[in-house]
Amino acid sequence: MHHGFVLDDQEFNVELSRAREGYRLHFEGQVIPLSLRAGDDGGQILTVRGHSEPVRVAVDGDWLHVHLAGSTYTLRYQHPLDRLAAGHQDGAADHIVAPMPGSIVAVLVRAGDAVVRGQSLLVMESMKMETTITAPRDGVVDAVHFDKGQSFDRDTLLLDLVAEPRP
Amino acid sequence: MKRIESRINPASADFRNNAAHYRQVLDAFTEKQHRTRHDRPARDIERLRAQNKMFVRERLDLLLDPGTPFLELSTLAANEAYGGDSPGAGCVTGIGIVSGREVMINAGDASVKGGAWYPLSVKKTVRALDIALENRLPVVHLCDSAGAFLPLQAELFADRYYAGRIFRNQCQLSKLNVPQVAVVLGHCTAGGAYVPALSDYNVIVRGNGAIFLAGPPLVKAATGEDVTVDELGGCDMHTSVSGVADYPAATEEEAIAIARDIVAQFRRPEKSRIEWQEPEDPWYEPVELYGILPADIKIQFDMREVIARMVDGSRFHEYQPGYGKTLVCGYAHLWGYKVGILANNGVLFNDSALKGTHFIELCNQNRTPLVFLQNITGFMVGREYERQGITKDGAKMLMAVSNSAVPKFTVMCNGSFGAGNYGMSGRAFDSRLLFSWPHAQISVMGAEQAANTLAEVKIRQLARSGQTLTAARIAEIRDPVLAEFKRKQSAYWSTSEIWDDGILDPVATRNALGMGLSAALNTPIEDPRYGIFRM
Repeated sequence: MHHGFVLDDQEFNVELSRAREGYRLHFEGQVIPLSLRAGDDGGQILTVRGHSEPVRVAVDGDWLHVHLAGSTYTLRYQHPLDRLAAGHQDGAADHIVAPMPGSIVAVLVRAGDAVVRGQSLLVMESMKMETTITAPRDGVVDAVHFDKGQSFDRDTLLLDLVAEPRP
Repeated sequence: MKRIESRINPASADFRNNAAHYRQVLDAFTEKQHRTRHDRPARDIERLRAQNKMFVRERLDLLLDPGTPFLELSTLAANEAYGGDSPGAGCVTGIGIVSGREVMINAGDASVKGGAWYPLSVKKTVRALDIALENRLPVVHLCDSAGAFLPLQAELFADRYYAGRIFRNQCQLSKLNVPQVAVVLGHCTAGGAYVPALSDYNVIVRGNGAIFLAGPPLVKAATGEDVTVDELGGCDMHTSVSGVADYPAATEEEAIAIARDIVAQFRRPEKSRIEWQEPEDPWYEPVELYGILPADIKIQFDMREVIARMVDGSRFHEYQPGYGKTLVCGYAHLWGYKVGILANNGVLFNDSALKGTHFIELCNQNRTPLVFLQNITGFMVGREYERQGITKDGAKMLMAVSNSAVPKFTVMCNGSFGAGNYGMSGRAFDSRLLFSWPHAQISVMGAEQAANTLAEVKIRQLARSGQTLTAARIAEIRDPVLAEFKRKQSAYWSTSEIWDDGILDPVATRNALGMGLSAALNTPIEDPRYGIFRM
């Protein structure tokens, strides 16, 4: 299993594999034997390369608070597919096209507006249904190509987003 | 499988308005459901007490394992029919746990017209036994019915899916080695006598219970013979002389306890194996569904937000996320069971229909049950789409849906209009269970469109003879159509007619589907075989 952890703003890629006792941690070319077992006091005992330390772990959603050897570390877990999907950030999604033929019911933003992911941009009507088109990511509206009342075909470009406003 | 990232803001005005609106919808539903289940005129309850009988809900409390869920089906059946004379169609059906076994319950409700069978009572019972057949669920019958409601006998007696089907289904269950036990708590007369007779085991209560083809008055009229109920078909005669009944019981409590002990002897089924992992709660709060469902049915919403509040860990492996985007397809786990979900995010286009077809075939190949979440205004219309063959792509989807061999489940999450209802495994396509949310609507087309179409036809007819219609005359044509459509497209109408297996609170849907999936695995999953896909 591949895991990505962010610790103090630095990203670490580690892999875990099964071992006869506990796990093996694969990290930057090293293979480190480790195990985690329950301690007497409700905490756990972490053994890395034969060296054992008591450890306490609190999980709060995607956040892990790890208390180890007098220090507390806060880590955020990110699913590898989410981390790798960051490469899509700008691309086709910035050019918002009509999901179906229809007409514009409301235009909620203007060119130059800063928008956040999920913000409503346009409301369109098609096949008796009203559909709200939302921003796929944070950005700035570069151009809105249709006004209220105008109709369009499927896949027509309705709105452009950019990451930064044009100078 | 990564978690769906919700884009909903529970602090927004839209969310709060929707949630407030949905609470009202739910309150109305809960109130209706409570009334149907529990409210009976005092004289009817007194009559039961005088007869030394328990109310059907009390019987169920004794029968079902304490602390286990009971998935009641079609609670509001017949509520829009017969002037409200037959709440719940006079019977209670559902999937419950008895002595640790999943069973189908079929219980008569004698508090309503003596438990007389109306046409929809028969439909509800037949449906419960169809579900038992498809899912190989043992059946516990609690028999207490006055027999057919005679003024409507023509609508419940002789047709293929009328009362005879109850007994036919009992025989089919027996052939499939699915056991049944009947508890005779009142009179089982004429056809009703076959329910205990066709059960593998039956228990009869001394005094109240009786089984005969004709009761004393009919016998008197036919042959002149004077005979008492007990002599003719009572507990002791049947359990010691005729062998029609198996176990005598002194009271209802004893009878139900015997039935529980009988079920405890049933062989536990071998479940079909599908992908399963330790269940976990959805990451996002299911109650947020109330704020996601728009107060206006015309407003589109992202079905991924619904999926996120229904599946384990809110995790979803989306198939073809960039293609045919109006149909969301993908894998998730629900109560641990791997499922393939198809959910509408808009009208069905050629590409969405092809994607859906491909995904249904994938799920059949890898034995993954299917869950259809409907919010559909139909397949796309217009010249361009006809030229692309929208009809043949829709036909492919119907071919895949109908011949799918894995269990299917359907939830009416919002609108279900036009042929999209079919493509998304509507009632006619044999989903193992089909539920509606209380605000859902079903019709062949929208009410407005239907009213306008009919008005348009009339206007054109008259135009041919040179006449025109006044606005008032057009309204006269439109308004009744509109009113009739609105009444009959509501979830309350659908459920009254048993076009579904009941209305569910959206939050309860996850549990209902979990129980349905568990039950579905009693039946082996066959290999799929399809007909011709029009290319």
